[in-house]
Order: sequence, then C-alpha cells, then structure tokens
Amino acid sequence: MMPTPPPLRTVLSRLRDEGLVDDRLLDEAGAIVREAESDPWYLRVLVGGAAWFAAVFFLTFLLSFSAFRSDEGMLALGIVLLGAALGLHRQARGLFLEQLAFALSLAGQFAFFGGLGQLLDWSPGFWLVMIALEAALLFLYPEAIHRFVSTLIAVAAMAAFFHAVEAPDLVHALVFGTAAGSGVLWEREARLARSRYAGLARAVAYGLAAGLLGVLVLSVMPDVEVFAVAAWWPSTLGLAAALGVLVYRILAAEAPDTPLSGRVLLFGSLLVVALLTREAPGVLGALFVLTLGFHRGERLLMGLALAFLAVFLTFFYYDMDLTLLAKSLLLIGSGVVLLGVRLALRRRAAP
Amino acid sequence: MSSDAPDQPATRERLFRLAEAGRLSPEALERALRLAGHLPDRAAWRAVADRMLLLLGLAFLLTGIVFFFAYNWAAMPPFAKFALIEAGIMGAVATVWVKGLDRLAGQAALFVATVLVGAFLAVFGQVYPTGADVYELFLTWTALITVWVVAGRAPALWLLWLALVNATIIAYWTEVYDPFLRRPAALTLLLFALNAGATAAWEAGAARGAAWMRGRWLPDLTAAAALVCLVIPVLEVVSRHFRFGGDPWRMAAPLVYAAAVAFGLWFYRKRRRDLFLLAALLLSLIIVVTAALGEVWGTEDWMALVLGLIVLAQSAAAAAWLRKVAREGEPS
Repeated sequence: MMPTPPPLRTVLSRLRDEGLVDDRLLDEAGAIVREAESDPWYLRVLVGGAAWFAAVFFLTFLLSFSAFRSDEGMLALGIVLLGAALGLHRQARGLFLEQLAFALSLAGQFAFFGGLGQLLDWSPGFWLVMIALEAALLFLYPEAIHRFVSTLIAVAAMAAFFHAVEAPDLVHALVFGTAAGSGVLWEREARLARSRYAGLARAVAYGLAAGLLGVLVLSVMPDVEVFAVAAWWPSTLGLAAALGVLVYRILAAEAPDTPLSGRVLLFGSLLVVALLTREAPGVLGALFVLTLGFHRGERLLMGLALAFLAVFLTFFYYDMDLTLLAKSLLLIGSGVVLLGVRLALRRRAAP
Repeated sequence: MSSDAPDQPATRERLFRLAEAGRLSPEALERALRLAGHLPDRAAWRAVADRMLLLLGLAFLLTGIVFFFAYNWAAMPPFAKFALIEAGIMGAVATVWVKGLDRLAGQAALFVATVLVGAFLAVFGQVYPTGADVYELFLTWTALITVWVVAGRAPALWLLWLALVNATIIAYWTEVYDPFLRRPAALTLLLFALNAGATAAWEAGAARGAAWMRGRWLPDLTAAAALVCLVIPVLEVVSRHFRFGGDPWRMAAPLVYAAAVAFGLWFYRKRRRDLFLLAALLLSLIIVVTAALGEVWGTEDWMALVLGLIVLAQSAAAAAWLRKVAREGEPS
C-alpha cells in the first residue's frame, strides 16, 4: 500500500530552504491546490465503461430510424453526434452532462467510422482519416479518459493502416514508436507540466504505453492472419534499444558512479534476455513499461505491465510458432539471467 | 512559516497543480515529487530492483518449468522427469530452510515448491494414466500444500490455495456431481460462499492486527471474485424473464445479492474504507439494474435511448457518491 505523502507544508518548506521556491508560495499554495483531486483508476473505468454502454444504447436507438441506416446516413449522424458532443463538453457542468457528452462522442465516432469505412471500403485512406480525427479530438475534447481512448484508437488504426497497405511488418516501427513516444513523454513530464499540453501529454503517454502492450498481443496471436508478421525479432530489438536508453538514463540520474563492470553486467544481461526472447517481444515490452512505471512513480503503469505479462505468457503457451520445449527453454533462460543479475547486484552491494 | 500553508498530503495532483499554475519550475517539481515519495530515490531503486529481479526471475523460471513438463518430452525417461521435479522441490524447501519465511526469498521459494507439487502430480498423471478425474489432481494438490500455505503466511500462497479450491469444486461439479450443469445457480452460489468466506476471514485477521494481512490486494481480489459469482445467477434469473424454473438456488440468488450488496456498501464505507470494492459493488448494481430494466422494457427504439440515459445517470450518481466517500475521513 502506498504510504500517505508528507504534508504539502513540509515539502514546500524543504523547497524553500533549498532555494527552489519563494516564501509567498507557502501562503498561496492552499488556494491553488484546493481543487486538485484526481479520481482513482477504477472510478475512471466505471465512468468510461458506462459511457461505452450508453453509446451503444444511443446508437441502437438512432439506427432504428431508417434514415440513418445507409452509409451516408451513418456518416452524417456521426458528424452531428460529434458536433453535439464537442458543444456539450464545452458547456457541460456536472457529472451527468459530462458523461452524456462522452457517450455522444463515442456514439458519434462509431457512426462516423462505420459509415465512412463502408463508403471507402476500409481502404488505407479510411484508416488515415481515423488517425487524423483522433489526433484532432485530442485537442478538441480536452478530457483525460477521452484522450486516452483517442490515443488507443489511433494506435489501433495505425496497425490497421499497415495491414491495409500490405506492409504488416511496419508494425515493428509502431512498437518502437509507441515505446519511444511514451518514454519521452514520461521523461519530460515535469517540463511539460507548466505548458498548456500538461494534461494532453499525460493522457497520451498512458495511451501509448497501453497501445504498445495491445500491439504486442498480436505477436502471440498467429490466428489473426491479417497481421501475419514474418518475424517479431525487430520489435524485440526496438524494445531492447528503448529499455537500454531508459536504463542508461536512470543510471545517469540515480547511480552515476556505477562502475564499468556493473554497466556491462546490466546491459549484457539485457542483451542476453533480448536474444532469448527475440520471438516473444511481450517480455521486453512488459519490462520496459514496468521500469518506466517505477521510474515515474506510476503504480497504475506497473500494474498494467504485470497484468499484461500474465496475459502474454498465457497466450504464449498456445502460440504455435514455437514448440513448448523451445518456449520453456527461453523462459527458463530469461529467469536464470534475471536471478543471476540479482545475485551479482547483491554481491556488489554487500560490504 | 505561514499558518495558511496547507496541511493536506503533498499528492501528485497537488504538486502538478502548483506547477501548472507556474509556481514550481520543472526542477522544483521533480525535487518535490521526490521529497513527497512519488519518485524513487537510489535506495528505493535498489530495493525494488532486488524484489522485481527475484519475482520476475522466478516467474519466468516457473512458467518455463511448467511449459517444459507440458511438452511431455518423450525422449526423457519418466524417472528423470520425477527426479528433476523432486530435486526442484527439495532445492526450494532447502532455500526456505536457509532463508526463513520472514524474508522475501524464503517466501518465494515456498511458492515455487507449492507450484512444483502441482507439476509433479501432472507428470505423474502423464506417466501413469489411471483415468482419474481432473478434480482429484486439484484436490490432492490442495491437500498436499495446505500445511505449507498455513505456515507460509503469505498472500500469494493463500491466493494459489484458494484458486485450487475453486478449481477443485468446479471440476468436481462438472465432472461428477452435475455434468450437464442443471443447477448452475447452486454452483455459482457455492463459489460465492467460498470466496466471500475467504474475504471475511481475511478481514477478521486484518482487524486483529496480523502484519502479513495488511495489504489490500488479496481481499479486493477475492471479494471481486465473490461478487462476479453472485452476479452471474442474478443475471441468469433476469435473462429468464424473472422465472426461477422451480430452482430454489435461482430464487435465493437475488435475495443473497441484495443482502450482500447492502452489507458490502455498509462495511466498506463504515468499517473498513475500500473505494475499489465500493466501486465494484456499484458497478454490479448498474449492470443488474440496467439488465432488469432492459428485460422489462425491451432494448429497442426509444427504450434504448432511455436505457442509455439511465446508465449515464447511474454512473454519474455512483461517481459523485464515491467522490464524497473519498473526501470523508477514515472510519473510526
């Protein structure tokens, strides 16, 4: 359980003593932070999940009118609903109206993409429109859960676009891009906090991390033939690079005095795990998100990584690309490497 | 120092609000996050790296061992398989002996031993196919590890044990007692009773001050599992247009559900504050109420619009209430 943080007074006093803030902030902080409260993740899931259900009910209602059943009708309905959602979100006061705006936006997106997809026959251009619309909604609908959902949809649309242009192997670029993107956004979190993009960056960073893990599930689902990727080692390579940079930056900030032998041990073992799990990129993907989560103090991100790892290993069991013997050996090998690194680190730390 | 300086905890949100207001520079924000314990320092990194390397390393190792024996390598003699697993169990138990159960390494080794007992039984079934039912494997596994689980006093061990008891009941029910599943409500109510009982036992132990029962993830998980087991028969009754078909267990399900939700909302607000479980209880209520209204009114045409608005109204009310409870102090 997370211990309760010290009082704001204590933290600000320390900052003042270190010359990082002035005296006035201690007087004014109370008024500034009065409204700063954030919902826990399960409350967000409840609110977001209810909006999804409501959106399905709204669409069921609207599609009962024959005028909206044609492709053009659905497209027009989507545009009207999205417009209504954006207008209502700007004016909404109170939870019910905020929820209604969210549900209208989701229903509008379902209708818009359903109609346009049929009209364009799910061509590459359609997926690009989807990505562009979600990117626009990040700015037009400034709300955390909505931005998270938009980022997830955009990542999924990007994967679908690569399939539509018959280049599924570009999914490796998506894996590296989402990993690097979330890493950079979390690293720059403090710098972005003062900009007007603070809320946007946090929601997109979460969306990219969740999108990365979602894309990696494709690697253990060979039955999903639309994403018939020839080999997954390029994704593992990209993730090893992203994790390597992250570990390098953490060492530079937290333990710059780490000797060369210690660095060789860490990066060498990362390389060995990458080689062993080259066809199972979910392992390094989970390690990357887990490390990033702890680095930035985001327990939700850590929980997401561990839950993903459990799901990934379950799917991995049924993956037909490798025999159970090969899979068992690569997992045993990775486990032995991690335990070996722990032993070596403990020996170094011992007086 | 000013008397106006806030005494509220320096949460992440409050520190970021100060930065957004332009009152903390990026450097000051990073420093504040660290001082408040939101970002790890060197000691925290060392501790968590040690823990994660151990737990992930063992998780990969154990998963790999399970995969290895599931492969059922024909070229490997049966006695070599038994010897390998037994050596693993003995090694794990020896580690427990050396490290002790108060240290993470000892607890992790005991967990490894309990899982390897299951692997041993599975390999035994491969080598000597006696035609025994699956429930017997789960039952034997549960019985063999019970003493270790009691001695281990670790949430992960109890979770494994409870999962095995659940699996034993489900397997026995579907293989022997009721293979055609004519009384599904009785099975789900039995599983509810088991998981709710486990939650109650945990809460009682935690209330008595057992240090190893301080964490909340296990009771949250078992209570959520109990709730799912209870919602299933209630939704079944709703989907049958509120007909019970002469099944007393089906009749009991809505009553038990109503009582459990009422008790849960009171207990986790007034006696032991747990917002996660309060949210789970309210989510189940939203699902049950919406399903019931949909069954009565139908889900087509205008009724779909009405149901959509009702879902939003319920979730908005639930969120508002949960926020109110979150602002209340801890129950005395």
